[in-house]
Amino acid sequence: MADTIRLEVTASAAALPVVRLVLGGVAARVDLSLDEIEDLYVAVEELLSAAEGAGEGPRHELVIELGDDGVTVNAGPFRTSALRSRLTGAEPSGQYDLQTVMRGVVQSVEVCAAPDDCYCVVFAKRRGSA
Amino acid sequence: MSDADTTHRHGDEVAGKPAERQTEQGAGEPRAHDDRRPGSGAGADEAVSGEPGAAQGEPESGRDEPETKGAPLAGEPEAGDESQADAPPEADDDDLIVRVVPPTSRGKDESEKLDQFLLRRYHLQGDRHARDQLITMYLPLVRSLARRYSSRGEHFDDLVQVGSIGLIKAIDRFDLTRGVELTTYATPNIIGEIKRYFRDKGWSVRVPRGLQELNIRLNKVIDELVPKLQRSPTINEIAEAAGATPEEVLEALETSQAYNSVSLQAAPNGESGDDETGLIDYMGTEEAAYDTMEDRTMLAPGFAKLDARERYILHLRFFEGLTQSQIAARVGISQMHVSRLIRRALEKLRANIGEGAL
Repeated sequence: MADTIRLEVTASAAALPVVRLVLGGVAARVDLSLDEIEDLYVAVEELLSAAEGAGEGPRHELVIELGDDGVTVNAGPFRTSALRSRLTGAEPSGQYDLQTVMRGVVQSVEVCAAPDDCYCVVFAKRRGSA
Repeated sequence: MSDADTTHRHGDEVAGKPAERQTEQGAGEPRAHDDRRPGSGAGADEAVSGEPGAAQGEPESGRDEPETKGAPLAGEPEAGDESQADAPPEADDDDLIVRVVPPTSRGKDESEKLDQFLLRRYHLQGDRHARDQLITMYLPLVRSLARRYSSRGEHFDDLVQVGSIGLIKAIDRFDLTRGVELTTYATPNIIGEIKRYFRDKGWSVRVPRGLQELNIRLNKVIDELVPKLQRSPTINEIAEAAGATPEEVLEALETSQAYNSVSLQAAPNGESGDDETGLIDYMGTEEAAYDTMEDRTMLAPGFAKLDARERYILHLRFFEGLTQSQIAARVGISQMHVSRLIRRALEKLRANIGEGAL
């Protein structure tokens, strides 16, 4: 059932409702439960809010890939070390932070290299995980 | 989340012990180590972990001692192995009760070990200090999540309090047998509690009645489906039960995000500056040229059918506003002829662009 949706949004909180709607519609196609979709919302909201806080932008692309048992989201491109450290834990932030929250709501969170010294964040939510 | 809810649900009681234990031990505070020392007598009853001083800092001699000497619980290592299996490194039981170490200053494995240790202390032994310590440890997580929602018109401190209730519920309902981390279980609980708080506060943004009603119906449907299915329902299941399409369900659920309104006089992005530019200054106005464009598009096929003189006369009459007599003088024909030409030109236009359009 491999299917891919590309969504390009401005790096702004105002884009989050659009992202949520698209993500919800896509997740419904693979029969993720309401809780699982809420988890996905949390993950993408946390990530994009953190990206906005780190000064990332001006636009982000989200590549949403539908699998047989869930959804994989590839968000980017990001370039700041502040966001990367919050995701990889290279620099302890002194409190439960983005990484912990994301690890709590999705199955996997990975930071992958992207062109032009950028990186992207890939996270997956599988059916039956909530 | 729902599985854990149903398998380890002890009721909605929040601040106290799980209801099951309270029933066993009456209305008072749960007794520390009772599970290990059934019928251990008055001396054991005095070691009330929930009471000040019982274990917090100054345990009386011997009261905590049986903890390492008692019979092991099912699924727990022998008492002699407990410090290796349950306790995090470099800490004995008493240290764990007394010291609250910021989780991020420990390694991930150590944090998980400490979580599991404290959860077992609380759920298996009724140790309320372990519960308190877990709550304290995870408050930064609550603050982190509450901060995410603090821009929606509610006070940050209020959201932390609401989120803390979610955290306490998560700790109380945590199922040790599920093999998941407390963070994994607590995060959706905390977020759910905060979202529920917003939902119960109602909408400050006007949402279409149909969506409001569907949203209310969905909440009811979801509440019915969860126990029926024994899991969180899918969007398709909710849509079917609510008699709506999946798109309508998603849209209605999204309306619950409409928590607060923003003043048109407010500075964009919440910035405060010297200039008095408000959001209203960035709002667009109706573009008059769109109407002209629409008219041109509609009339163009008809005008193409007119000859040059008819087009000129229509232009003089309707665009320059000349009277028929003025047009007659300008073109050099009679007013009666101008009248006939205008009528004929309009008939041609009507025929080419449709009767209803003129």
